[in-house]
Amino acid sequence: MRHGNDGREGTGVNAVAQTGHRRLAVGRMAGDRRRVWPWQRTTLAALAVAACAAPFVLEPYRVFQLTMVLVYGIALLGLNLVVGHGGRVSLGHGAFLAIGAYIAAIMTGRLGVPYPLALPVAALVTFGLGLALGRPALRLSGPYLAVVTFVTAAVVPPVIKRFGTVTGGSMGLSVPVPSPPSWTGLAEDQWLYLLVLAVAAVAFAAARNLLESRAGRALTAVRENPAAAEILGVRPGSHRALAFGWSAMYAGVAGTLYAWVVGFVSPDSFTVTLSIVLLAAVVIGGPGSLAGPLLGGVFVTFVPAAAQRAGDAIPGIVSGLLIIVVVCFAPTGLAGLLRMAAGGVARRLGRG
Amino acid sequence: MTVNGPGDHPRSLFEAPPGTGNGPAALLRVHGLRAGYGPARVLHGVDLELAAGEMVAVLGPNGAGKTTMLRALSGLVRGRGSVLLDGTELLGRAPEEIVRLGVAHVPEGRGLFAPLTVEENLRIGAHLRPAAERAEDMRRVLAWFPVLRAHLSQPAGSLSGGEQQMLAVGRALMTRPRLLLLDEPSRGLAPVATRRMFDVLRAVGSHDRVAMLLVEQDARLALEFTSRALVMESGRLTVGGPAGWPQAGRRPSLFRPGR
Repeated sequence: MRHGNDGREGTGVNAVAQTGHRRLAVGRMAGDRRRVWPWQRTTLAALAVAACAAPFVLEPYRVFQLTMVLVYGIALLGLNLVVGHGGRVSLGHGAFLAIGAYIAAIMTGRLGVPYPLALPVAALVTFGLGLALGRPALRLSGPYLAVVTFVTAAVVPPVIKRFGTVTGGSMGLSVPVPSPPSWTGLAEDQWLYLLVLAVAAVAFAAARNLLESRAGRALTAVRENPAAAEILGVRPGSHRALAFGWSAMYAGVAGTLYAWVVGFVSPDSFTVTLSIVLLAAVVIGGPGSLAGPLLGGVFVTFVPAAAQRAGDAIPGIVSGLLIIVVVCFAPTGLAGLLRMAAGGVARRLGRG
Repeated sequence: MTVNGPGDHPRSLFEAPPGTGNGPAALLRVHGLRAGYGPARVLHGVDLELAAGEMVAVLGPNGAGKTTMLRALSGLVRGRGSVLLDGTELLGRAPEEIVRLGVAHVPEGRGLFAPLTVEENLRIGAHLRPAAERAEDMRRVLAWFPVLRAHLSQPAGSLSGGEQQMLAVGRALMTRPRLLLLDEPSRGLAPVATRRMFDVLRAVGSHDRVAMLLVEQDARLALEFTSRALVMESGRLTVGGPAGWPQAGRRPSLFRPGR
């Protein structure tokens, strides 16, 4: 929302006299209405076109990888609400991912429910669980929340194993992969990709709206200065808990998509390590930005797999080192680096 | 705490500061307010009355409990005793409810959300306001502080000290308060900026009938701009009288209206 100098009322003149000075208005403020090239919109449009065209250009395995980037991107988008915008650490989002995935697996695999129905159910259940867990946990400050969420992440896989009759135990469950409607003429991987892309688009749009809404501003205010927010009428506890609920919901939705895409869920896919990698990905991607989760998704999809080839313990080491490098040299994450680079290019173009 | 001075003074002198008086019209009545942090008692029974539109300064040494009093009034610190705003008891209510009832607090150190823009800061001030009236509130505040208009899309942290203070006050005014609590608004400001700030505060107070309770270290400034000043010492308000004439009781012959 942009305020120009259009609404300068008569009372303003009076008040200028009272407060004395006013900085000289320049550029847009001074009424410069020359059109500025809409960089952001152009970039977004180009990205959207590329994203839609990708499954028809790339080979199936690449399409699968890209789908996973989007799946993790949605989970990270949720985690980012807590970490980037809420300023709290959650080590438990792997658990919500697991719950979302198992809801999809049990509903479509065991109960034979049509697969699209699993998505809203998973979203609702994880939202409720997140709210229930977040309300007491977020009253605790920083490290305690990390511990509570860490315990959640640690407890969920054993619980899944324990209730083997429903969950398939440590053997896991296979999930019927959503098949494309025949009229589309799409291959399975293309259909899955487009499905996930559509959900991701909705998820990102919703997150953007949420952050620019009254609730989103209140959340940022609470992060920046809880006491100051409180005396303006913002209740810190309820906004944090709500953010945690939203965040768990995103993870749950991502879990359902994961089950569809991979076609198989097992407790070992959702270990504590996954939760830690997710947190690392938020930091590396860029906390508090919307592009960060996507870049983080790239990280989760490619880096651990690539490092695995070098040895078993390597993924952890690589993640750790990358976090240190990012925190030291690019505290705003990869998204921040990209922004700076784009700014540099734009300036150069402007000068040339 | 008595507000009216000794009876032997010409009445007109006490009518000079607008809104002075503690008749039945008092907006805020504080009686026996006690508060503290855990075992440490800070306030030992504060009594205070404030009329609508009145501007009162609270002076006193560091650690006397001035900030704690403001925090107790806005619900950030639990207090005991009685605090009535227009007949409604404030003690025991959450800060959010107290804001809703019309008390705004500009905290020590301003409490701005530094990375958020000026506009976002103001919008958070309107958090509890009905959506339909937020635009109008924003216009009003920007009319009081036109400097902010030029910086709407700039991070609050990048403003100068004086502008930040204006933003903090403007943000508090976005809640449409009846009572504004100000904790050292002059702190860290150049004298000129402080005077401008006080000019606006006085105008807001008389125009919108907003009562103001002002904690201030700069006694001279406070006495110049407020209608009366109270002195807080070890958790009690000890001295009160019309500001500008602190020695009125003893030397009536030197009485001169300040403005």
